[in-house]
Amino acid sequence: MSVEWLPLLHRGLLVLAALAGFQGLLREVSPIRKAAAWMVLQAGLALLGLSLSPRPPHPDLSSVPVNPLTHGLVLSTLLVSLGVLSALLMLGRGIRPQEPEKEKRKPK
Amino acid sequence: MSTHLPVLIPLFPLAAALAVFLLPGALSRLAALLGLGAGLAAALFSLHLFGAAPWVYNLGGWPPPWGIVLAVTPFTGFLASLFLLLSLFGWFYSVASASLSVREERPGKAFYSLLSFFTGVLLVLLLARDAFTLYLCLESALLAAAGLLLALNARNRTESFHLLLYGSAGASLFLFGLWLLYAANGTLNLDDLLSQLFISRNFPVALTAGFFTACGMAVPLLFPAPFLSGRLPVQTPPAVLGALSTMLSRGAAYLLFVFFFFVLDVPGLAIPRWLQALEYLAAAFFLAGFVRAFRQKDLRHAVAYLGAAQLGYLFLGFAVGDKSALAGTLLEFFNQVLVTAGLFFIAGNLRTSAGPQPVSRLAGLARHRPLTGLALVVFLASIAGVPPTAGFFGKFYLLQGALEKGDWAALALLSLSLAFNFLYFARLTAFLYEQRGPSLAYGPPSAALKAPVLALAAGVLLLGLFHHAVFQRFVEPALPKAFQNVPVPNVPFLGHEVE
Repeated sequence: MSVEWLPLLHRGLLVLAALAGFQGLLREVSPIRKAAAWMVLQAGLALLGLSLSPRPPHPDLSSVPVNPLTHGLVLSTLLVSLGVLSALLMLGRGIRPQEPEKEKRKPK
Repeated sequence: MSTHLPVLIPLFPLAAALAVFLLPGALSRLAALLGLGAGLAAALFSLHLFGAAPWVYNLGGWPPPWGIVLAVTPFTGFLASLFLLLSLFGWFYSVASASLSVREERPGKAFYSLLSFFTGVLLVLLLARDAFTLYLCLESALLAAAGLLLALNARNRTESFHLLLYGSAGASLFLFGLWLLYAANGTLNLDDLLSQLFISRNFPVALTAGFFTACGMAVPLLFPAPFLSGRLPVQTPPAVLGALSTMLSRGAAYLLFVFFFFVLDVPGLAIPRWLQALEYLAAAFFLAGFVRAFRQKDLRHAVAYLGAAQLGYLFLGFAVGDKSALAGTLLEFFNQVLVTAGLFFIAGNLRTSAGPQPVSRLAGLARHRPLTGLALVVFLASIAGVPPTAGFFGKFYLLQGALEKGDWAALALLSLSLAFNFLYFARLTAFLYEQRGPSLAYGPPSAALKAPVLALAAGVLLLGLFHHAVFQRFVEPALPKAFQNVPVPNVPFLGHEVE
C-alpha cells in the first residue's frame, strides 16, 4: 500500500494547526489563551519547517547521513519557544482579560 | 588579542547585563555604573573597529558555513556605534530625568540589566552572518524590550505583553522562512545561503522565504506606533522609548536589507508583479503615517507616528533596488536613527508632568527655547528633505534611483510624501517661531538634557555636509556586490565554480 499521502496529510495538519494558532492569536480575549495560541502557531510552523527538511542538501555533507545543524536548530527552537512562552505567561498572568464587546453579549 | 575585538563589541553589554542581574537589589547605583561602563567600552571598540573594517570573526573558532560568523563592515560598525550612542543616551535620560524630578522613579537594576542585554543582542543582530542567530537576536530583543517597558512603568504590562506576543508571532513567520531556506539548502550561513540558492536556482524558495521574512518584521518595524502600541507613548518616558524603538525598528529594517540584498537576491530571480505591488503598498502604508503624525494632537503620538512613517523611504529604496536608490536607503538609515531618536528626546525634554503634551503648546517654542527649537527645525527639515541635512541627500539619491530606473510608482510616492512633508515643515517652522507669550510654551529643559538633542541635530547636519565622505567610506562598501564591480555571486567559503 502506498503511503505517499502520509507526509502530505502530516503537513496539511500542521498548516491547519498554525492557522488555528493564528486565529486564536487574533480572536481570543484571555492573555493566557493568547499565549497558548502563539505556542500552537510556533509549534505548527516549526514542525512544518522540520517536516520539509529530513536531510537538507549541502555539497559538503554528501557523505553524512544527517545534517548536524538540524539537531541544533530543533533544540534551539524548542528552548527559545519555551523561554518566550514562560515570559508571555508571566506577563499575561497579571492582565485582566478584555471585556467582550457589548453587541456580542447575550441579553438575559 | 586584536583578532577577538569584533566579539567584544556585543560581549561587553551582554556581560554587563548578566553582572547587573546578579548584583544585590540595593546596589542600583553600581548597576547603573556597570551598564554605563560596558556601553562606553563597547562604543570605544566599535569606533576603533569601523575605522579598520572589515573584520571577520568566527565564534569559538568554528569556520563558516557551520560556525557563526561576526562581520564588522564600515557600515555595520558605524551603525553599531550609533546604536551604542543611543543606548548611552537612554541610560543618561533614565538617570537624569529621575534626578531632575520629572516625577519618574529612578530605574532599578532590572532596567539597567535589560538595557545592556537589549543593546548587546541588537549589536549581534547587526554583526551576525548566521540566519538562526538573527532569529534568536530578534526574539531576545523583543523579550528585553517588553521587560524594559515594564521596568519603566508597571502600567505597561498589557502593552509589553502585546509587543512580545505579536512580535513573537512575527518572529515565528521569520523562523518559518529560515526553515524553508534551510530545508532547501542545508545551511544557515547568510553568504553560503546565497551561494547555494544560486547553484540550485531555487527561486520559489527564495521568494517564499522573503515574503515570510518581511511579514515577520512588521511588529518591530511599527513599534511604537500608537495604533499598535496602545498607550505606550503616553505611559513611557519618551526619551527612553525613543532610544528603544529607534534601535529595534532600524535593526529590523537592516535585517530586511541584509536578507533582501545579500541572501535572497539571487542573480536571475525575477520578482513577480504582485510581490512588487505589495512592496509599494507597504511603502505607501508607512508613508501614510506622515498624514497620521501631523493630525495628532499629542506630541508623543505625533513623534511615534513620525518614527514609523520614515521607514517608508527605506522600503521605497528596497523596491527600486538600483545603486542610487540603495545608496539613498543606507544614508537614510543613519539619518533616521538620529532624527527619530532626536524627536523622541525633544518630546522627553519638554515633558514636565505626566499629563498630556499638546502639539499646540509648541507655538513660539523656538523664540523662548532657541536651541531646542532649532534642533526640532533641523529634524523636521531632514524628514522633509531640506538641504543641507542628511535627509536631503538620502532622498536625493532615492529620487535619482527612481528616475534612473524609470520607476514612476516610486517617483510618485516619493514626490507626494516629500511635498506633503515640506508643506508641514514650513507650517511647523512658522508655528515654532510665532510671537507668543512664554507662558504658552513648554518649560525649559536643563542644559544636561539638551546636550544629547543638540548632538543628534549636529550629527544630522554633519552627515549632510560630509555626505560624500560618508558615501565613500560607509555606504558604497555596504552595497550589494553587483554594484561594486565585483563578480557575483560571492562564494567565499565553498570554492564552487560558479558561471
